[in-house]
This record gives sequence, structure tokens and C-alpha cells, in this order.
Amino acid sequence: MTRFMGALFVAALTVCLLKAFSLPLHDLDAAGHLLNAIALYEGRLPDPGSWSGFHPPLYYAFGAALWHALPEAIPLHVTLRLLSAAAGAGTALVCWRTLGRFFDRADAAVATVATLCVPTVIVSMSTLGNETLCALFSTAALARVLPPTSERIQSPRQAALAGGLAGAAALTKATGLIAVAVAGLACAVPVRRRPRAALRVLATYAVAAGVVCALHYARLLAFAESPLAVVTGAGSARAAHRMMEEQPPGKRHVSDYWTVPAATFSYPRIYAPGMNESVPGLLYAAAWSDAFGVVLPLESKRANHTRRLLAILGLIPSLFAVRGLAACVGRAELRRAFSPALALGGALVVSLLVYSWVVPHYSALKASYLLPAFLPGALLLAAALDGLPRAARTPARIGLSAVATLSLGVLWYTTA
Amino acid sequence: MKPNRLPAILGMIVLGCTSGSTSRATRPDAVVLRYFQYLQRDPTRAFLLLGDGVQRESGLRIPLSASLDPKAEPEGGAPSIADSKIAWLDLQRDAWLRAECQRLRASVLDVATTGDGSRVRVRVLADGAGEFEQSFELERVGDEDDWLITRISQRGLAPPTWGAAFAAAPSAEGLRHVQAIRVAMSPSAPRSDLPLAGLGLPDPP
Repeated sequence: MTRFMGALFVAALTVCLLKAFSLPLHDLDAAGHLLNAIALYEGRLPDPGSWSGFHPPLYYAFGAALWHALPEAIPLHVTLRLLSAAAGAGTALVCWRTLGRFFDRADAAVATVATLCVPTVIVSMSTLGNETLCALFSTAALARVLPPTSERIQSPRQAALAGGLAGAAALTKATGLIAVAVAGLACAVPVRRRPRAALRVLATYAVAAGVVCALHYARLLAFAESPLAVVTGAGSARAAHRMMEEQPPGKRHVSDYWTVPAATFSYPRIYAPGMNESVPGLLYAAAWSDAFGVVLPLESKRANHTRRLLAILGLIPSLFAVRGLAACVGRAELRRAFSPALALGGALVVSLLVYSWVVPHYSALKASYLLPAFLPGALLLAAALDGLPRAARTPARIGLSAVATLSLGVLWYTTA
Repeated sequence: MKPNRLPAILGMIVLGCTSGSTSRATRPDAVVLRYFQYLQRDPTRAFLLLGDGVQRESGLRIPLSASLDPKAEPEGGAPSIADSKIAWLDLQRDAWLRAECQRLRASVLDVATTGDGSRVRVRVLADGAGEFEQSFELERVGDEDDWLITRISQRGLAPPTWGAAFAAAPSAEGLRHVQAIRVAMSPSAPRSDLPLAGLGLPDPP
């Protein structure tokens, strides 16, 4: 099973690399990402007042350096996609290794690869955008604060390492700030009964994280009038807001947070009946069915058949994840060991829900915003497998692997 | 994967592995020809050949629909250069524009260089649609004999070449021509097949 998962991991990475080269420049928000990378390529920081200038610079700095190093025949958008793919693969490898500390090797492998093959992850790995690199650093930071590494967190070196990784996540995308907060708290928990030690660990962690990312946010806050600019931009990015304001629904109601329309499975894409008024429905469709049309054309019949199939396939891992969450919450030893991961996943979901309320437009619900929760998501799947009786475990592994294989295959076939 | 994409991918990988790092064109006319080559295969590198003056004069802005109405001043007055650059790069995501770029064939008519400035005139053949003339003003930058395009103008445009001319030098004026093409196409073509579909232009009546 582990070997098959290894092969599927390689297949997923191959798909992303081929898509990186074969798809034309079509990526959502490509212009803003390209302009940021060009600024770094020319040795400047992105203009914080431009369309996407509020994004932290690390992804673009890596992309610009890679573009300098690669031969001229590789376009910048392909370079940035290659970086996204490499970061996504790195995230999966760190996750795989971390889960292997707690679970059966096969369960760790299946859970990791099943998470990797969720369409929003594969799509993020094949397009340009800073989500996968942020996921890599968030996952690496989280891995430092989970047992048994967390038991050594009192050492300044360990705390500084965790802080530096979380800071790098925040220097890649603003969602990394959540990883900074959660990993910081998790650092202090093992030494909470010794206030001086806790303070020392927290201070070391905070200095390391701050050294990496504070300057960017200080520069952004000095430029913008509002702290909200950290996630929404400032200056001429207001033009983007004006465009966004035309997107439905325009106003959120409490009922939007529990309504799940039939279109979530029958026609899972933006503008389908009821979809823009359903936060869980649109989020699910964004995660499983490329509801925003990043790689599957919105008007194509074939793409919409694929969307339906992927939405139905997604039910299987989703049910496993719910079962895994119940196991993690219900079993004290799992809860204790994984509380930082559960806290990170929970904080990301809650922040996305709050964001969707503050910005009541469909594009606030991109599932790729949840990519830093890669490890928590895989953890839920592994916990679900772990809790199954021995006789049921093999069929469950096969089921999850089949969903991962089919999702990858269908996505590959439809976008080919 | 469509079989016709495979050679392109393999070609790009082989080229990537065998060519060196960015090579420079040190003559103004070579820079101009390179601009057309880049438009076809790597628009970001074409973008790097354009100075701020070209972006400023393009009149393009974000959202793209605002470029169609010169009276629509965004908050804070005229569009910033960053907005024009974003609009230029955003256009490159469009399938119709990519196809128009593939139709362009440029040949140099004449070059006049004086000191650090140069003027290059090219004939642009838009495959199957006719031809037009495009003039470039360039400026020498840095110590390494690099040239930057500072101004672009076009002559001899007619409705059949409007699409190609826009692809060769996107501007607000060209965008109005494209909108006219969209209006002409709209009765028969699906909305998703119209030029610059999905880039926020107003729907044709």
C-alpha cells in the first residue's frame, strides 16, 4: 500500500509539472502575481498600493530567483507554477513524515496522498499563487510543535526554528499569520507550568518569527490606512474591490452558513442556483469541483460532468474526515497530541468564515485559502483509519486510495 | 493531453535545458523583433522590454471596462502605471489575444539611431487579415547596451487588422476597436467565445 501511495504521489507531481508547462497563461489573479515577481526580479519590493502588492514577498522572491537561474525558454508563469508544484510536494512529504510518527506507515501514506489529491490542492500546485508555499512553511512549523519534537521546544534552537518557519509562512501569505499564532501558543504549552521557561520560549519564538516577517507587515501598515489592508490590499487594489463588489451574494445571512443546496453535487460551480448563498456548499464545491473555473472551464459540458463526479467522490474522504475529527476530539491521547494541529485547522476555518461575512462575495470563499491546513486535514483521515477495526482498515485504505486516483485521473483527463 | 501539445512541451523542456540564461538583444531593431517573439511565447519577457512611458500612454486601467471610458476617472485621478501594467498583463490571459499574437509577423522597415535614442519602423503582417505599420521609440538604458521601448504608435489600421493591432500593442484606443469586434460577433457567437471574454468588459448589446 505504501509503495502504491508513493507511485500515486509521483503521478500527482507529474500531473502538476505537465500542467505547469502545457497550460497557457490563464491563472486567476495571474497579473498581480506576475507583477510582484517582476518587481523582485528587478530587485525591488512590490508596490504595496498595486493590485496584489499587499501579498508578502517570499513566494515572488523565490520565483524571481528561480527565473534568474532557469534558461530563457522557461516563461515566468511556468517558473512560478513549478515553484507551486515543488512547494506542494514538499508539504506532502513533511506531512507524510510527521504522520508517520503517530500512525501506521500505510495509514500515514494513504492519508497524505488522499489529501494531496483533493482537487483544490492539485489545482493550486499546477497554477501560480502563493498558497502551496505558505502551506509548506505552515506544515513545517506545525511539525515542530507536535510531539515528540515539541518536547524539545524548550531549547532556544527549537523554538527559534519553529518561529522562523512560521514567520516564513506569514512572509509568504497572510494566512500564515494564523500559523504564527497557533505554533507560538503550542510552543508555550509544554512548559506552561514554569512561567519563566514559557516566557523564554515564547520570546525566542516571537523574535525569530518577527525577524522573518515583521518588516513586511510594518511596511504594509505604514502604507495603508487600515489593518484590513494586510489581507485585502490598499491603494489601487481598491479597483479590485470594486470588481469584487459586483460579485454575488453581496450580503451574507446567518442561514448561508448552514444551507447546502442540491447544486453542491448536481451543478457545483459559481452562479449555480443557491451556490453563492451557501458558504459550506460553495466551499465544498471550490475544494472538490473547481467551482471557480481555475482549470475546468465554467461553460463546458464535459467540465461540468467532471465537477459532478468529483463532488460525489469528495463525499468519501469528507466522511472520513468527520469521523477522524470525532476520534481526535473524543480520545484524550489524540486530543492532547494533536491539539496544535486541530487548533490550526479550526482557526483557519473560523477565519475563513469570518472573512466570508466581512467580504460577502463568492471569491472570498476560495478553498485554497485553507491549504495551510494540509497537515490537520491529513491528520483527520489518518485518525479515522487508525480508529477502524483491523478487518475494515484495508478496504478503507483502498477506498481512499481509489478516490485519490480517480480524482487525479479525472482532473488530468478533463484539463488535457 | 492533446497530442499536439506534447511536442510543444518537449520542445520547451529541451530548449530550457539547452539554452543559456537570458540573452540580450543589443540592437534596437533586434529588441523590437524580440518583442514580437516574446508576445507569442512569453508575454512577461515582452512586458520587460516596455518602459513606463508605453504603459502610461496605453491608457489601460483596471478594471478593464474603465479603459473604454476616458471620462471614468478612478479614485485619485488618472490610472497609475501599476494599474496599466496589471491591465496589460491581465490581457495576456485571454485565449483570443494569444491567438491574435500568433498571427503576427514583423519585418523591419527602417532604423534611425541617434545617440541614446532610436526609432524603429516595422511592417506587421497579420496572418490572413492584412498588414499595418508599427513604430517604436527606444532608449538606451544602463551600461550594457540594453534598449527599452518607450513609445509605440501604429498606422494604416483597418477593421480587419484591429484585433492583431491590439495584440501587437494593447491600448485603450485598441480596446474600443476590440469592443466593436465583440459587438459585431455577439449575435452569433456564445459569450464565452467573444474576444477578451471573462476580463470584465461590458456585454455587447
